[in-house]
Amino acid sequence: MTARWTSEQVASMAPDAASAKAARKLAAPHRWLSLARGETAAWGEYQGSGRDPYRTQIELAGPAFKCSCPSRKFPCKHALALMYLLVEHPDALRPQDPPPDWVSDWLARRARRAQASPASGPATPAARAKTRAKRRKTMAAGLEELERWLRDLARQGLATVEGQPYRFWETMAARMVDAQAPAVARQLRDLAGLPGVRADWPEQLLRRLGRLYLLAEGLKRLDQLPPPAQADLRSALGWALRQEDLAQGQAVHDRWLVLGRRVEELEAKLRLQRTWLWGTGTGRMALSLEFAHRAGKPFESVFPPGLCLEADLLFYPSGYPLRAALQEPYTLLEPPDGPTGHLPAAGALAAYAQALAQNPWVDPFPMPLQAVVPLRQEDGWLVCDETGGLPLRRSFQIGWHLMALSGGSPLALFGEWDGDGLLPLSAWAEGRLVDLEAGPG
Amino acid sequence: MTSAGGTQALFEALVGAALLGSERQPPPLAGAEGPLADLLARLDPADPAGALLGAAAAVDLYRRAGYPPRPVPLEAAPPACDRHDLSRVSDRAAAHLARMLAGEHSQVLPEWLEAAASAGRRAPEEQLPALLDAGLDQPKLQEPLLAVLGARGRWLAALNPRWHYAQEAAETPETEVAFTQAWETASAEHRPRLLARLRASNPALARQVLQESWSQESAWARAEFLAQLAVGLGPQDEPFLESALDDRSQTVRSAAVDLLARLPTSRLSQQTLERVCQLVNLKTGRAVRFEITLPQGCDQAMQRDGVDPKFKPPASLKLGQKAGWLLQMLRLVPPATWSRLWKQGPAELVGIAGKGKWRALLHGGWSEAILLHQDPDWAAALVAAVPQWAGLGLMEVLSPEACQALALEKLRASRGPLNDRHPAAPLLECCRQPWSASLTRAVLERLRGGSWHYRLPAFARYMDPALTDKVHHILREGDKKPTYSQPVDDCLALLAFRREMLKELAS
Repeated sequence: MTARWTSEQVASMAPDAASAKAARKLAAPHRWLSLARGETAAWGEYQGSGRDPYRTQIELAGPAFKCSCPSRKFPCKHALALMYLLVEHPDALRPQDPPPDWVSDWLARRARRAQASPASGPATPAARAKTRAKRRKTMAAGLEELERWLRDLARQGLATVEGQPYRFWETMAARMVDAQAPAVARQLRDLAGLPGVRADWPEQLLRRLGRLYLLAEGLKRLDQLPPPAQADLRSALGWALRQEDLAQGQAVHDRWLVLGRRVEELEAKLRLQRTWLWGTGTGRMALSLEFAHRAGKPFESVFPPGLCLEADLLFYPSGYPLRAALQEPYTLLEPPDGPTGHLPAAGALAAYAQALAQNPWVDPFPMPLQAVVPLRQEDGWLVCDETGGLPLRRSFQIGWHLMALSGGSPLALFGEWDGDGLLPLSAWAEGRLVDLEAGPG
Repeated sequence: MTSAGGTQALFEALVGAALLGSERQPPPLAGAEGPLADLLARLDPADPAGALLGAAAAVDLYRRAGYPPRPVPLEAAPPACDRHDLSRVSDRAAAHLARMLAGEHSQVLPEWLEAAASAGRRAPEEQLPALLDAGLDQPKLQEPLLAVLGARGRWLAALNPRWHYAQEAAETPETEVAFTQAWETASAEHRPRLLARLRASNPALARQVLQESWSQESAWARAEFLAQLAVGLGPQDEPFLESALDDRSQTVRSAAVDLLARLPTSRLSQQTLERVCQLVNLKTGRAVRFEITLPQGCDQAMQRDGVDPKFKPPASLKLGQKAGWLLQMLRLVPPATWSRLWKQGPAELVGIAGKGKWRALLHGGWSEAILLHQDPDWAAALVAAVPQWAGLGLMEVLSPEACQALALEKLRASRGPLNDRHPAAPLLECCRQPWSASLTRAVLERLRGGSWHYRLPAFARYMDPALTDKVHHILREGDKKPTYSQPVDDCLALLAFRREMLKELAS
């Protein structure tokens, strides 16, 4: 195995806190009936409550997990425990070559699956064009309705929303889901939480309503926009991009360092994973986006911050290309021991302005900062350098950890900027990248 | 170009208009300059709702793109911490600490802190906030965690008012002036500690400082501070303590009595001894026994000297009111006095008392005296005779080694499996320091065939981790199929964790 995993990274792969805790309890060598490892995989047998022991296996390159236990969670506590053992008690897994049948069969099946091309959606270009047109029509109708609703709201005044029930927003959101514009639906549901909560809610509300209006107007003029802007608008509406669209994408080969990873819980058990990658050679930032549609379903690839991969990334067309798809095969490498090519605060904001000019929908914006010091003020936390300070988002709860890591000296930080506040996702301390999103330890 | 201030004002105007609604007034689009003004001019005034929303979108985008970094005077930033520091614990040790702070095996956190401190290491930076918070929730952790904070931890604690306890503890005022300053400004929880530290180096000065501010302190504070005079207690403290016997507050008076009782040359000690000697007598001769006359009254002098006339003795002793007065006086006399007076060792005297009718009074009074005067010889003797009283604090008077030696002796003396009713059980419960290998082995042997497995997780905290494999073997033997029962699992998990964490810190 070329890369080293840490316990924190294993913990970040758990689907929830209960699994992580349960896995910890199982991560003791004496509790397993057998433990072994080979070149590309590790496996073990655990006696659970069933008659036959559970067979758990991990393919190290992915990592990919499989376990014969009946749990619906993924990775299950046995798989996580096996990962912990691999990290903390490597001697407990004796080398075994060749692996037993139940391991080699699974590895072979995985290899075959990776080669087979994914067939999803309509095959022929004509069929594709037809689906597209249909979707465009549905969306257009939906957004027209949204526009009318927005205008009504603007006419009557925002003060009227203060007393409105959740239904007021939810009905429109459901309509957007029907219109195949899920991103818009999501934003509408978020709006429901604004009125009356913070002192500046009217400002926040107007900003978001303005943005929605811009989306609706934009869709009306879609054909007049240049192709990259069209792609960005569709993305902002929540029109999922397909692999076929990537034919026009640009492939970039580099050694990519994972700078941050964030999982957001969206509606109806939908989870969104954002993995930010920094090309150490090209100095480019990339975003790998993945959705998981069921509660227990895993993300295809889980890369904790600090991991380094040599790979091709295929960038989706955009006015400011960020979103990219990781191409297989890729190799895991040893991570570098320090940041490269980060910016000062003012420089990062200038980069944001540049990005907005090329794609006004970019949100959140990746901000690698070179050397900032955390500072606590009356109204919250800031990170600052000699060019100025950037406020941290209120949802960032661990300002003191940042303070402890910095010790008052500047440190390199990576976070997501939303135009108002920065959400730190990772920081460099003592030659290592510390994941701030997963929490300390 | 519209300035940042201009943009903000423009947006605020838009918000105001939006709240009222575009029906009431047209959107206020003035105040923009340059390209933004051009864009806003293109909005259709005949469509006020659309113009309002469009303007909001455009101005907001403009504002976000032009967001300036906040001017922050870098002098506002605290100075960087001292880079010269203890070395950090290893990553694996840090992972152990993280698990304990998250709640897993948290009962052995003090052990980890002590081991890290002895190894001269400091806690990892990322755990400092959680560690400092833990000190707030569990004040008992404060002392051990101070040693592993390092320069970084103390620096951090100084920045957050919630963690000032750590910073206060780190400061030891050297000079008298510094002390007086600290004394006046310290928090209520910290002042007793400050006083105790001064007592250790300069008892007379500490007493003097206390006397000066005595009248302004609250009753609670007076009692707390008086208790600190236990450090470096000497005959020079007697006048002050004697005056405290007349204090308004009961707690202060009791504290003064306790301290005076610990000064053998004090008037209170000598008078109490006189009173007790008139009432308690050791009759020698053929039948050696204690003869006791109960006191007839509880006069003013006795009350001033610490005897509460309304005191109720513990119900288990089954003593009356007058016996209660004698009990209180017995408590004040150091047990060693009796050995000197009657020329017999503690074990003998305890044995004689145990056979007579005044057993409850004498044993009860002596047990209180042992706790007040912290006499290990008498503690060992009394616990050996009355093991069920071990839980009352007598065992803590002994050193951990003596404690465990007693428990081991009792364990070996009685046959039979280890369970609640075994005579060694209460002693074992009191051995709350890491056990020696021999005690661990003895307990393990006795657990075979016993029914005390549910105590295993509690014992796992103290058992010698070097014997983990042996524990595993003994508890598993006889199992053909590994059906793990919960307490055994928990015990093994804790023991394995302790072994790992101690090994990691020692390396």
